[in-house]
Amino acid sequence: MINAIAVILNGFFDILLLPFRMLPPFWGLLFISLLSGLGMIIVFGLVSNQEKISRLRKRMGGEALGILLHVGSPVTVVEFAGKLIWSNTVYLGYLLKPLLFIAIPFMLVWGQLDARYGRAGMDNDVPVTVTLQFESGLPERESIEIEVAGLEFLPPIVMIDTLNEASFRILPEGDSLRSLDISGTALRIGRTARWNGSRILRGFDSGASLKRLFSPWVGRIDQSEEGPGSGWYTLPDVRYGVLGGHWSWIAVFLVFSSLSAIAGARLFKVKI
Amino acid sequence: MKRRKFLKLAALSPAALLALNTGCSRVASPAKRVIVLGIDGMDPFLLRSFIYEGVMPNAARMMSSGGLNRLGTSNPPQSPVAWSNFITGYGPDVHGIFDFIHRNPSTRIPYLSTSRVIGPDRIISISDWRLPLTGAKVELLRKGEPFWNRLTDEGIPVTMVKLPVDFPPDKGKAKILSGLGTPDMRGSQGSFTFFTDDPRSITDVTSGGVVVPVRDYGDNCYVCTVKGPENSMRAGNPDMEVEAKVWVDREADALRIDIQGESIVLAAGEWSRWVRMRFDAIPHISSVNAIGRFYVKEITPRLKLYLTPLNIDPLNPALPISEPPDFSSNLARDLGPFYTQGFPEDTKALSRGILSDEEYLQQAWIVLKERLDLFHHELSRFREGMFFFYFSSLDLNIHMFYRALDPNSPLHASTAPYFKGAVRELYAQIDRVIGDALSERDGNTEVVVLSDHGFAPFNRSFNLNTWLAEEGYANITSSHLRNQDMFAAIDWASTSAYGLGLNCLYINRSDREENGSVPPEQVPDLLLRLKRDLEAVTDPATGRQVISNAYITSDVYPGPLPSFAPDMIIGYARGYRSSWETTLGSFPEEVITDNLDPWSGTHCIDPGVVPGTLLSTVPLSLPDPNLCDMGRSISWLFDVPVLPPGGRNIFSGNG
Repeated sequence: MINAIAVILNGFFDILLLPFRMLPPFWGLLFISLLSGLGMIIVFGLVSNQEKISRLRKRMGGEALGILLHVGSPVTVVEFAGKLIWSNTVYLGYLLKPLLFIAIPFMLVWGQLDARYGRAGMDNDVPVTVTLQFESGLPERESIEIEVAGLEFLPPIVMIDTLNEASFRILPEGDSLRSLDISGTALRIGRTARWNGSRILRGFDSGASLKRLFSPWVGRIDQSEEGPGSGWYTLPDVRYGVLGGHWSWIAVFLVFSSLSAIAGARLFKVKI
Repeated sequence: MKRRKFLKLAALSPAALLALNTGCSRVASPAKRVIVLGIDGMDPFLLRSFIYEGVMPNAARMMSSGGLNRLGTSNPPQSPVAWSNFITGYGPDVHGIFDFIHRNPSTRIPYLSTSRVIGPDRIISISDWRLPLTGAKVELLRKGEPFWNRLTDEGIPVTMVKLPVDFPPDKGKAKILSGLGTPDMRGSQGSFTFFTDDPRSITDVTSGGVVVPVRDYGDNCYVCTVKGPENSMRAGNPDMEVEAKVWVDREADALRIDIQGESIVLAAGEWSRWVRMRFDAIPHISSVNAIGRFYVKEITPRLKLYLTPLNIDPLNPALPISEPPDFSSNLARDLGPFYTQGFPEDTKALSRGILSDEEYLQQAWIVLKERLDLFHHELSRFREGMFFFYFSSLDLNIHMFYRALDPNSPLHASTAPYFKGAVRELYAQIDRVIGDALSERDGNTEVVVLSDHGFAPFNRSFNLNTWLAEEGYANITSSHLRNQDMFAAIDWASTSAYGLGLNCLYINRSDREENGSVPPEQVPDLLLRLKRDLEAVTDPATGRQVISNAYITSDVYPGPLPSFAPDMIIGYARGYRSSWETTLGSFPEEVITDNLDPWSGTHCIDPGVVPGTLLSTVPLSLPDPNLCDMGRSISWLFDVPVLPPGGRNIFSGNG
């Protein structure tokens, strides 16, 4: 069931980002950020009690004005300040309901963007480190069997007892289908990013949990008896050139979704 | 503005043509392409011997057409000075570069001669944060007009890759990637990091890099902190840092480095590929990228992990290294990251024993391979105009391995003969580059190969400041401070001269230096006395003259000189050079000592001893070509109406 939802969700975002496949990745990220900001403000407008918020905002304005008008009377200032703090608390209470509505979709969008814009895809002839996590202690070095297709295995295997981890390198080659089999556990290998905004796998595990919906960069594996339970590939993170800085996708998302939400609030006359 | 500029140009051009056209006849068919290979340190004598050995068939082809010529170098014959001569057509009196380091005339504090960073003008301080309202700037200190401006003004495309003494690159119409003089991310000319738990390797002071002690607490993990550039957005400019966890597997003799979410697996004796590191000034908003390569020197019994100096990332350069700015990022996208610092081979790590001869040579080949990839990439895109490409490999590697060539070197016996072959192989590789350039010849293409200077052995070190003290020109007051840098031991009030830099000597003038002791009217006599005394110095071990010529700067460059210019340029004899200690103002006990540093070849001596090399497909018509002549001569090949003013035209023969 969870896997089916994950497939639908991934497909939805693939379709949403279809027009941006050939553009630099920033534009797809910008589009989703703006769309998310608008979506969040519309949901906020529908779910929140706009009348109560409007009344509260007017009252808070009056209380702030009261402080300014009575600066000569400390008792009155303290009284208005106390009221203002209480009004703010009430305001946070009004926000609670819309925030609960938005939380799940927000986390889903967050996961999708991280999977699509957080890391660069594999490049041919650039070694990638694979780290395997074994649940019940490291196996003997000699017992780890590695079979590859579409890539080259580069020894040595570094075994880290403290972490129950084993790491080695693979070298992606050509454009054929890539596969990696560790002692009977078949892993899905992320391809070179097929298009801008496509999901880039950077990990795998054998569990079928709800977590998979919020971390779509993790591929599912059927674990063998001797194979690893989970693991990850090392892929470089991506930064975006915005206003002369190097912004993470998180900074791009937060800034542009906020701007879009503010603009949406004015456009749709939503009180925030 | 454009209309006014046009009218001005229209009025001036005929006059300029009349004034500057020296009557030289134009080439019948203008060359549309000129490939210029700048091979730093290619020595005419070594080149000739390798040609006769059959190692360099392409150079031999060029020798038969245009001849193998000695190319007059700069005085002093240091690379920044020499390449500035090439770029401007003038000497240091015009371009203002006299040495690798200059000093503030008043305070005597040394600084890098080629560029400097100027901080932002306005800053807002909020708590611990310093937010700049204007950008910081990097200033190129080389003056004078580059010769290629005359080409680009005529619409001739110019591409200069790894151009020396051009950081930050000249803004203009030429495509430029900066070379020699480009700093690393910490602002030095190359500062390595060496992580180790070997107590024998841990020292407090290591010039050219830092040794960082690390420890395994029993979990096979070392926490290694990589220090990046200073964070100018925080009070006190603390170093930005990146933490790396190094997990060792002693059974496999391999390790895994976890750094910023990336894991790198390496076996002992392996070099990593370029690792990108992000140093956050303001997390998520402002960061600078750097690149470095790890080398696993040893895992068992002790961890010895070397990290190259942090280079400016060509993909997202933190400082301007190319013009137009996206030139470097386009190259990095096409070819991957590459060394951007001016001195890519880590000679300091070899000198300090951090890298062995073999490990240093591995790095040298990595550098050369990258450089060859850049060369072939740009050569394949070269269609028209001038294409200049600079190779540093011969220079730096012969500095380090001259001891293998010279039986008189104090280190010759302890250097494996293999490295003599490595020098030969480096020359052979450069010959293949010459061959690639020659294969582009099509009747409209000329090839010029030039070097800025040659080479000589550096077997004996001359402690100039110690000599000045022994001869009464400098006064040491505290003998226990004599080995400290920056003249810690000197009494300025009774000192009349001091040495700083590789070839420079300064008079301690009362009208220029703080606490200066020599009145201006006494300077000419003092200089004559110093010249006589210096040229009379002999090595007690060999009886040979140590200094061929002590040049009084105002005699060599009679025009007005900048206040930072040296008063005397020391031209050492073959086999001798100023000691490393002299360059930074300390006073070792002995005047002349054996040079036991692997840095065993030099060119910072008398310019007559180390001429550069010139090979050309265009025959020469002047017998004594000089670096200053090259810009004007290359421009003449394009038939531009106004030639650059500096130098002579060595191809036409009539100026």
